[in-house]
Amino acid sequence: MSTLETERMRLRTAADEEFYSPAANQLVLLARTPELYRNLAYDLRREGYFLVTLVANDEHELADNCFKLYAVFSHPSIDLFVTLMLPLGRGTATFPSLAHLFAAATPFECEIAERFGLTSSSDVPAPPCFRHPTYPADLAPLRRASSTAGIRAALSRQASPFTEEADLAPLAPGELDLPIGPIHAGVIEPGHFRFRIAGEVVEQLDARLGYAHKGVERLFQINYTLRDGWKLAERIVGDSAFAHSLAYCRALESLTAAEVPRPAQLLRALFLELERLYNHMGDCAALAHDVALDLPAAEMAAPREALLRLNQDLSGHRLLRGLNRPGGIVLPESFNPDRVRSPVGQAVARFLPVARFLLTDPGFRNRLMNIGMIARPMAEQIGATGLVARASGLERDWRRLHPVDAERLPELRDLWNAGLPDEDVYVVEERTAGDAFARYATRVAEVAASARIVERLLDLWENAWLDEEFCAVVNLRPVSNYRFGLGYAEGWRGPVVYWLMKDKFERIYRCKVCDPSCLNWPALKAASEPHTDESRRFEILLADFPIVNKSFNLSYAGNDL
Amino acid sequence: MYTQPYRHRGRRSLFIRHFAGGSSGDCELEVANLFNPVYDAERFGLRLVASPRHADILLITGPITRRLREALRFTFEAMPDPRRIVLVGDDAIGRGIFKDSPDVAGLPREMEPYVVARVPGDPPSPQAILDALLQMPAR
Repeated sequence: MSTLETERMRLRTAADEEFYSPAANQLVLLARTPELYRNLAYDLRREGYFLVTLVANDEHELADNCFKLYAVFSHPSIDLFVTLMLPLGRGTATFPSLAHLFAAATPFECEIAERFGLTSSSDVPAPPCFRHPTYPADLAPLRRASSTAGIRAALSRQASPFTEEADLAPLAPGELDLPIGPIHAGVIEPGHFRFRIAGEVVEQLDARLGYAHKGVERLFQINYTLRDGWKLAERIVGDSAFAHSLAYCRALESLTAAEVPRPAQLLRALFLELERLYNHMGDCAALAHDVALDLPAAEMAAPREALLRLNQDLSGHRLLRGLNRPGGIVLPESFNPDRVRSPVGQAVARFLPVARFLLTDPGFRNRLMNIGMIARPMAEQIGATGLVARASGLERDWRRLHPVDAERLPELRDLWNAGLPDEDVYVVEERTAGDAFARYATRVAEVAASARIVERLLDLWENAWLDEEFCAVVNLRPVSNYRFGLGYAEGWRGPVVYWLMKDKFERIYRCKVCDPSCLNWPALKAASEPHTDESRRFEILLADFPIVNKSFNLSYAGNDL
Repeated sequence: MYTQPYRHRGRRSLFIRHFAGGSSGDCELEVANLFNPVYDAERFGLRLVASPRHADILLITGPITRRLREALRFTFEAMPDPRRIVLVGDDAIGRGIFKDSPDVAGLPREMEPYVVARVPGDPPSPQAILDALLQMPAR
């Protein structure tokens, strides 16, 4: 059993190069050559580390005068992040690929290729799910030299995006391609899916995303200072507004080593759970609606609306915006725990009986079980994260693995993913099986756990705390230039990660946003395509896809940025 | 609030086609909430339809990214006359916080005369969207 200290010693000898530790749970290793970078990544993979995010940065203004890659990994069981830092060398525009070691690196590498104009050394061609045909290959909007006017001019010269693609394999007899989107028949975000179907069975799924691309990361650099970046962060993914602004604020706090006051820590944990509650309830209702169980769907959607109104009541915003600030929390009025306790209690008491009824309802089980299957080894191989990983039996919960502030409290330790109160082993087995039903059951269990966390947090609240104690002052002065900080928060989809670098002044040099959707889109593709697992064959019908998609409920905006 | 049956003041039902213009998903979330059992917009004759060919109204959310502009044109062209546009949210009305981004295009100029209502808010509440849709002038 390795501990934090032994692991750090081991890596120090393995790297045999400069390293430093910006925080107690972080280690930055400098890989001077691509070979060392690959070898270190191989070593991390063997030890079971998983990829958190891969950041490219244009550091031509700095002493190194080159592009740099930062690959952030997390230890599977210790609270430790390892960052591999690779300078690409002056004039180099190719970077070594990690896709053969970590499948999760692929979307990030495609993104780097598109936004920095760098080419990957990988021989594996970029999967069509991440390339967007309208983007000029040589645009590279995130290079520091590119100007807004230049990008605008280049983009407006672009031809129609709806050109026929040549890279589709020829159809076998009986197969056909069914394109759907980017405009869908319901109220969902834009994305294009291309199904290759043989009869009813889905043979292949190509998801082309990127339609919601708004150039968010570049907007951080040109329009925001470090202190007000939270305003943009909470508008990146609508339903995870609080998790995103929290991750941003924590990145800045880790950069400045700011201490968050205890009441603010509790409030942050509380609002994170409130966000989880309303989203999980909405997803459960939508799943019931998709299998035509409209009465249970309506009964589960009603408490969700009650929680959105509670959000409005507490924070002045239904989606919990405008609360987080670097250093703490700002509330519109003083906080009264009694105003939270009974609405949450009532909403959960209304939701859980219906949700549990569906867990045993034969019709519901029949429609959801064994579709959209990702078994545990596959989830691990793809690098799935958050709720999807937990529903496949992987213990990935950053509130437990990488606790921050209030998440360290001993009073809360037994509550993360505690499950339903009187759960038996069969239920636990079902909710870690990896199919659409498991994701539904995981949501139900997390609603029950969240309700208990909320109650415990309110018990810890002391009424003597005043509003002035909720936000500490963040001092940016002593932070040296071009330092980076890592901030993260376990949102309802999974960990939201922000990688933030300060420039010479108090502005943002680079802000890399990593929503869990980025890592889970490949899992959705894999779950929808035919595959074999432990000699069982899993296929879905076209009519099952809406259920599979809903059981993941990934963000398009969070992926496209 | 809306438990009273709505009095039809000589108005017709509205068939709505929703267009997601690349917002963060917040406006979509509130538009979807419009049809939950609490607001239940269907009882006022408001219906979300699957095709623009069935729609009276194109309800646009989000700042309309450059990559979606073409799709928006196709959607609008597919609608039968008389066609109207409702913009929901600050992003859709004036591109909001994303207005400085070159990847965001906004509503094409030729569609602007068709806009009959703008619902401000970031995102607007379902109540505000509902009010705007119910108060729309008869065609």
